[in-house]
Amino acid sequence: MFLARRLGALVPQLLAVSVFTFVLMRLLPGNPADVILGPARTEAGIAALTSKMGLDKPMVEQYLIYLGNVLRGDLGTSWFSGEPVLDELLRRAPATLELVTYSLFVAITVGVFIGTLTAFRKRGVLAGVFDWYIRVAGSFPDFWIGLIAVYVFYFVLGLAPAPMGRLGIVALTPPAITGFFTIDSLLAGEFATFAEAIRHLALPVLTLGLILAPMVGKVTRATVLDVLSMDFIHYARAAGLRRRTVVWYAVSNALPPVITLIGILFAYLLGGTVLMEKVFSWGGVGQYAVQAVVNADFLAVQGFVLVAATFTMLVYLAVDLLHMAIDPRVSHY
Amino acid sequence: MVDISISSSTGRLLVHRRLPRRGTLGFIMLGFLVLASLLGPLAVPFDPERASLLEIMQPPDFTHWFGTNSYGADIFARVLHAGRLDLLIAVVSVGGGLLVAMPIGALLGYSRGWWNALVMRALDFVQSFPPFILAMALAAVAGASVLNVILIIGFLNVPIFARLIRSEVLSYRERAFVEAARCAGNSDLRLVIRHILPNAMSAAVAQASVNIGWALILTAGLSFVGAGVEPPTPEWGAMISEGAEYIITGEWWIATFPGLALCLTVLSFALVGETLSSWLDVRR
Repeated sequence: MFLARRLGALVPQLLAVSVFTFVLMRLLPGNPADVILGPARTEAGIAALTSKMGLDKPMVEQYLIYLGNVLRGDLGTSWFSGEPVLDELLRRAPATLELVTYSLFVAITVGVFIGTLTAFRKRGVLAGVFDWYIRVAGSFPDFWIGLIAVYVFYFVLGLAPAPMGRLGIVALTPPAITGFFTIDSLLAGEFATFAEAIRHLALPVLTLGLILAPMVGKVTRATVLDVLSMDFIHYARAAGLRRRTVVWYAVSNALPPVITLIGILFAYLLGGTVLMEKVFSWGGVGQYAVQAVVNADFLAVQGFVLVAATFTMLVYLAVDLLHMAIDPRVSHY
Repeated sequence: MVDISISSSTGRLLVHRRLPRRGTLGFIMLGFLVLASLLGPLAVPFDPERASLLEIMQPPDFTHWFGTNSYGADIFARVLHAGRLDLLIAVVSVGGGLLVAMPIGALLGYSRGWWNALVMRALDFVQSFPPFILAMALAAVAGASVLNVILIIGFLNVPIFARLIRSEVLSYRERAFVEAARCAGNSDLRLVIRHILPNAMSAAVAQASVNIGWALILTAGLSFVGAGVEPPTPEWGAMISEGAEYIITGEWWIATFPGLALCLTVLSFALVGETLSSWLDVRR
């Protein structure tokens, strides 16, 4: 029942996304066809695009035409690169997803760890440090921290590689299987490339992960504290179970709220990578979006928003399903 | 159940509570930063936008405390001037978002109607979007300008406040003092405006402080990708963007100082918000 309702909710969500991206183009000043074609427009080009987008037809019809194009996978062509927007987004997606996935992993592991620790330990230097970290880290703009990290670890210490993409200039891209350089290089047995990929991932991943970790930490701490005051924990303690066992009870019961947080974390990370990709010239969809904004390449902006939002909705769905799988109470709502 | 917190004005409870020790730090920092950005520009003898080709890229010294940038403008002066603009953008956009959200939240919390679920869904939808991407797309289409940044960030704040005010109003709707006021013959509109909203607003004010911090980061982020305030106008994010390309060659001061100012300001708003909400918790 829950499953059917949850899957059913996806359709209106995706339609709403498409309405939004459609309206986005209507917010452009002047004739959209004129603006979309960029500086190299011709009369013939404008006429062709006008008829393709149905700009001379009523709004509803224009939207249906747009929706039809989207469903066929036609997000238009970027005037700047001359390439279909969807092709370029798909080609760049793995770079961004690799960054997001590892950052998410760092945020969750660090967050759960310090959240649990501060829930159990109220006093002491370490608890104090973590307490401040949880309160403070959200105040730091990730892109600036990324820049400072580049200065310290690349320029001063020489530990990190130059912030110029996912691999060094001389390194060859591993054969594409998953698109994740860390996985593909291992699959191909190219360990040097693997190390290179990790070295390039380290700074952006740690920056994003450590800035988002407090969000996870707060939730973890609150739920662990909640769980700790529950009867079954008192019982477990009274029964003389080892401290380690009690901690494990508390943490494993605090996991469902953390999992529901993944959706929001993902949405934030997707925004964060846009900035981080600019700092590290990452070459993913985020950098594509930044270039599109700077070049007034509106079809590219529109396509990026559509793909990013759709993907986010799918992640929310996956998170809900995962939540349902580990917490049977959910499906009875 | 007897309800003892009958005070229906926000002002009264703020006056009577003494500042907790830990909470004062945020207020002191914030006061200092606001004063610095309001008065500082008057005291610094440099024009924040004037190019000075003889003094480009100078590291910090006693003349230029924060150094100079790629066209020789004094970074200290720019950081202070940027503070004015950034605080203005953040405060106006969050305040505007709060104003718009107030009637929406009050209506959603107080009345029951078929459109309740619909509006909630719409708010859900806006909030499920990656916020930075939403802001960036809107800024790209609307064009980079201070006014557009304010409008966009204000728009992003509406669902947050509407939701918060709704839940506050819901929690006050059935309270004894509201019931009493209703028995005394007050109309629904008057009940909401005079008795419920003033109470509901205290939580919104604490949230506003946190949101101002968030608005500062968003503004800076937008300018950093070229969708917000454009250089040479002094704005922290735009200044960080100016300095970004020089980081790898070691000219650290151009991006570092505006970033530090941004961090400190966001941090003090976060601490103030934390203090405000802990006061409100004590009251409950």
